[in-house]
Amino acid sequence: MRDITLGQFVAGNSVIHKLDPRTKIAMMILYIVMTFLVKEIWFMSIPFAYLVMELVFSGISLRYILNSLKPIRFLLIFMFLLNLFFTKGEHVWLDLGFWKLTGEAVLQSCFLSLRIILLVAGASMLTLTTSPIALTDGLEKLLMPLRIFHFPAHELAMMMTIALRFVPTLMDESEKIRNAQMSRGADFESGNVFKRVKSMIPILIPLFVSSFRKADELAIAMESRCYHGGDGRTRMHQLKFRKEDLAAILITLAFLASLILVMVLL
Amino acid sequence: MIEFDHVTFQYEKALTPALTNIDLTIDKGEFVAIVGHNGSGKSTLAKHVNGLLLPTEGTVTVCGMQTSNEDDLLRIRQKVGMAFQNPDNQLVTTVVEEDVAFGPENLGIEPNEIRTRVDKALASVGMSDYATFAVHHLSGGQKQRIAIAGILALKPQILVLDEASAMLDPNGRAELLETVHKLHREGMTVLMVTQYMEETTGCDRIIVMNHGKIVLEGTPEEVFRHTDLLMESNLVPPETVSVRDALRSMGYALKDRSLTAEQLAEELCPLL
Repeated sequence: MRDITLGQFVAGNSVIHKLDPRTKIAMMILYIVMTFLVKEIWFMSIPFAYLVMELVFSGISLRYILNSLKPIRFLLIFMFLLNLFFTKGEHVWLDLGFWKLTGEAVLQSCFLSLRIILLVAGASMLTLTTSPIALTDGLEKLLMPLRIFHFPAHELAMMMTIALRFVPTLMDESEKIRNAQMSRGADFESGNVFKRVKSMIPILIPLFVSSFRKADELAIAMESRCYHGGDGRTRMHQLKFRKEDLAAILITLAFLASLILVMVLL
Repeated sequence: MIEFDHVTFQYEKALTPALTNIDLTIDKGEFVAIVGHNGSGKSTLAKHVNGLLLPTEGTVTVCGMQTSNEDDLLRIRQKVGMAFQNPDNQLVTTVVEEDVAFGPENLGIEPNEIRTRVDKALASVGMSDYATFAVHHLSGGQKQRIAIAGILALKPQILVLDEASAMLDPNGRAELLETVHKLHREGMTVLMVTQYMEETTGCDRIIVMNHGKIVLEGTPEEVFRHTDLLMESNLVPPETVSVRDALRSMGYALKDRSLTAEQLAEELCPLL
C-alpha cells in the first residue's frame, strides 16, 4: 500500500522524460488539437505516427499504454455500437429490415473509437513520462499569466503539492482506522455491494475528522515557516527550457502543419 | 532575546486563562526547557514566541520586535523557527530537499542561495544522504530532523520545539535531542517544551508550569532539588533523580548536580 505510485508515472531517463514539463504539456495540447482537426479516418495516421514516435523515444512499454485504455473499454464498445446503429449511409452491407449495416456507419464507428483511443493514449504519454511533482511545477508556471485574471495558479499548485504529499499518509491512516474498527468487531468483507459500501462509513468519518486536524496543524506549521501565499515566492528548482525542448516543440508543430497541409491539399 | 512582559492569554470561550501574568526573559544562546503536564499552558506559551498566538494582555518581544505588530510577523517567524509534535503534519512536500527549501522559497530567496542553504541544513541534521528521498519513507525521528532542517534553512536565531519528541520512539527521541544539543552548541537559542523530564537534564534552565503559571524556575540542579514541587505539578522527576534522592535518604552524600546516569555513576564509584 505504501509504495503505490501516484498517477502512472514510470521513472526513466529517456529524451522525453528529460523534457521540461511545460514542453510536454504543450506537446499534449498540440496533439489533442491534431486529433480533433482530423475529419477523416485516413488522416488519423498522422497523430498516430506522432504517438508511435513519442512511444519509441520515451522507451515506455506498450503494455502501459494498453493498461491506460482498460478503464475506458466499456465506453469504447458503447460508442462503437451506438454509432454503428445510428449513423445513416448509402452503402448497405447488410439489410435486416429494421436496421441496415452501412459502410459509412462502420467507418464512422472506427473513426470515433480511434480518436478516443488516441486521445487517451496521448494523455497517458504525458503522465507516464512526467512525475506528478514536475507536472505540478509545470502547470503552475504555465498558468502564471492567468493571474492577471485573478486565476489562483499558485494556490492550485500548492493544493496539488499538498494532496500528493498526503496521499500516502492518509493511506496509512485509513489502514490504521480499518484495523481499529475491525478489532472492535466491524465487518468489511461480507454482504452485498451496498452493505460493503455502507460499512466504509466507520472508516471515512474518522478519516475526515483526522484530515481536518491535519490540515489545521499543517497550516500552522506552514505559517511558522513564513508561508504567506504565492507573492514574492521563489523556487529552488528552476524549470529550464533547453535545446531539446525547442526541438520537441518544433517537431510537434511540423506534424500539425503537415496534417493541415495534407487536409487542405487532398 | 525573548521577553514576556506580564502576558495573560485566554482562549476564546475558555473560562480560565491559559496563561496568567507570565514574566520571562530568555537570553541569547540559552537552552531553556519548559515542562508541565497536559493543559499547564506550556504549548500556549511556546506559540506566543512566533506570534501564532497573541497575548490578551501584556506583550511578547522577540529580538526587539513585538509579536502584536503584524508588519514584523514575517521577520519574527524567520528569526524563530518552530517544530511541532506530529512529524507528519509539518512537512509540506513529497521530496525531502523540496520540503527543506519550502521556508527559504517563501522568503523569496535566490534559487542558488536556497540550494546552498538546503544542503547546509540537511548536513547539520545529518540527513544529507536522504535529500531526494520521499518523505513518507522516513522514520518519525528522521521526519522530525527534516522538519528542523526546514527551519534551519530559514537561518533562525531561536529554535522552539513544541513537544517535538512526544510522538517519537526512544531512538527517534535520542536522535532529535542530540541534534538539538548540537545546534545549541553552535550558538542557537533553544526553547524546548516537553513532558519528559529526563530530556531536561542537559539544559541551562528549566521552567516548570502549572495552571498557566510559572511555579518553579532554575538550573536543573536547582529544580530537581524540589522534587516535591514537581510532584505537586503532576510531573515525574527523572529516574536518576529518584535514585539519587533515595540514596541520599539512606545517608549517602550525593551532590545536587548528579542528574544523569553518568554523573551518578561518577559520584558512586568512589563510594564503593
